[in-house]
Amino acid sequence: MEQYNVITATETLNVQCLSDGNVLIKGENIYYQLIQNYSGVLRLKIGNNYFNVYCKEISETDFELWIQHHVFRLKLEDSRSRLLSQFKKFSSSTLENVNVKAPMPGLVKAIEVNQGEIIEKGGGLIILEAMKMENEIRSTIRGRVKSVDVKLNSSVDKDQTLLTIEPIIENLNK
Amino acid sequence: MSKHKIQKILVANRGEITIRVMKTCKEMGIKTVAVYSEIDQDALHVRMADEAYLLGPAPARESYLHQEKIVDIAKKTQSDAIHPGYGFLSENPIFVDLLEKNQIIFIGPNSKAIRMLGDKTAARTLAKSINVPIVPGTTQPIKSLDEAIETARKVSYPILLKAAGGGGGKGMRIVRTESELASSLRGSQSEALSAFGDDRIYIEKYIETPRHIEVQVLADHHGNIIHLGERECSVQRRHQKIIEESPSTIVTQEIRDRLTKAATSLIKASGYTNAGTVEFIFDKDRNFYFLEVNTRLQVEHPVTEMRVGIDIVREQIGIAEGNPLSFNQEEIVFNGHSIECRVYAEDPTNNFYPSIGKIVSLKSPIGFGIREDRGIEEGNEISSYYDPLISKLVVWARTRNEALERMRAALTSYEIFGVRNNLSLCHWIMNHPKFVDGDFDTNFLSNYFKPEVLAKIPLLILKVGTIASILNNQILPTSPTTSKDGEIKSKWRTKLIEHMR
Repeated sequence: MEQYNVITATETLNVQCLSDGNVLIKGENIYYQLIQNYSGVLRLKIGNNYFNVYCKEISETDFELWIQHHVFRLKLEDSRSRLLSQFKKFSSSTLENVNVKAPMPGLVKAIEVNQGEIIEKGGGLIILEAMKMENEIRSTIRGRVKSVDVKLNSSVDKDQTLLTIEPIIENLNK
Repeated sequence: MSKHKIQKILVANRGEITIRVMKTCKEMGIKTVAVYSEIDQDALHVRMADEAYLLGPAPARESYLHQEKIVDIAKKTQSDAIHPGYGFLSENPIFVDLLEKNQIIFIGPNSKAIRMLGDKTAARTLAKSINVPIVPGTTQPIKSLDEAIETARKVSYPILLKAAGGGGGKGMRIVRTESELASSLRGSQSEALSAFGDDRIYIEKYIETPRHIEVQVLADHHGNIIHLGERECSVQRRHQKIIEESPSTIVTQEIRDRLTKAATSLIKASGYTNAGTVEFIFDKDRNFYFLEVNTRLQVEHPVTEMRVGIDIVREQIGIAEGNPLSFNQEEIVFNGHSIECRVYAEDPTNNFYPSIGKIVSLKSPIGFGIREDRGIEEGNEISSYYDPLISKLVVWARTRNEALERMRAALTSYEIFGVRNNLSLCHWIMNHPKFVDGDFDTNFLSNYFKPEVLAKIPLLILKVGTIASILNNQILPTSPTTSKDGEIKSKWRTKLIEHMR
């Protein structure tokens, strides 16, 4: 009997697979049936309701789910991946640099920061033009610009690293 | 103007509007020619046309904006007319002149009217001369920062910087204090230059809580000018419309009479022919001011068509053939209420960033009073080269309330998987008390919309997602195969998870 922890952005659900087509989620006993699988879109019968679900595999343990108008990611943790992630947590004691990536392909219209500059959370970094619109890429953390990895007026691909930020944490004992 | 029966139309566009135009052509027995860029070779508009010709690589300037190539194809295919759709070459007077030189009919206004109305400052001057109210500000582009400072002081802050050479929100900046003016002006100029190749900027008083309401007009070559009522397009993000409806909730019959008269008299004064839209801005006291004329078929024209039962594209073709309008103003019957949602490939929970990728599933709502104009189908890729519009979902009903109910239900049954889109946002808007009450302006989304409201996932949906990912993890499907009778047979390989070995 497999057990999972399902980790979403807001909560962790404990899941027990009882038998084929029967799971216990957060203490609720749920029967389900896979009706059809068409080009990656699953038609599921859950209880007495039908759902179309597109389940996109991001990695072995991470999935992006498309249900009705909802899109969200979750991590499926079984006993093995739980051990792995605990090990990872212990081994990475330093703060990691943040690579700011392009959310879409586009053209670098402006670079608003210089290497070495300290930027605040929410501060503008780069203006990317895509689909005839200018989009400002902002910093998600406070930090120092470690490197600017793109040139002005160059084209970038989706997920290409635009710049790298070294996080700054106040009152951190050296 | 002499009459000429059009036999074949080249549609110099892509996506839903091309399909929209071709549908009417087919009804009228007119042959259609599609043009396309390399990445659009399998697009719906290409397959729908009687003939299709490659223009060039994906970037618009090498394909859909390549005037000479388009004219060559029109001549080669003996197309007697070109419909430009919206965007691309639709408001380019140089293209219209080029067609005239090659004796190809442009389905739209003449180049003189486009030049005059396309130049926002010239249009403001014209409106002022015939007593159509305009927003206080300059009727000439500003020449220097000093002039901008002086003008801004005169009309008083907040002010709006706008591009003289084009619309769509490009180059537009709100300036609230003098200290922001210099940098905003620079930003405006550079954005306008890259969007329109023209960095002329003019100043308008910024109207707080503005509502955007426009009038659809049709004018033939025989001096007949009629209007098809108003459309309200106030729900916008980044100055781009998302929701349109007709009629507007704040336009009374008395206002409508004055509004449509202002619109038709402006069209008359400019010598305009074919379909056009006169845009107005309403302030909180329901005073209206002329904004600009869009000298083309608008994205949101279906809202009007649903209400008046007139095919605007058919009228455009008739006018271009030299025929008089097939009805007069008194014959137009305004019926019920119509609403449109523009379904965009963009993520409302992440700054409205455009999304790209493959649409793995697309199920459209169907039923009484529902219309969907779409140029993309399941399996197509949304690329970053063009406008991120997936479709336009339009409903009609007897009353606004019924139309809202119909739209909510239609949105609920609309399924798009694989590319992030704004369906959930549209649904949220249709349920928002302020929208339902008709109490909104162009700041509606910035005032009320918080991305968190869409990011919250109900527990039931989380559970469904959990089961789907467990299934995905336990069962590895091989690619589905299609049998002769079209039935999908998935081959399944069941695999028990044996992680701990």
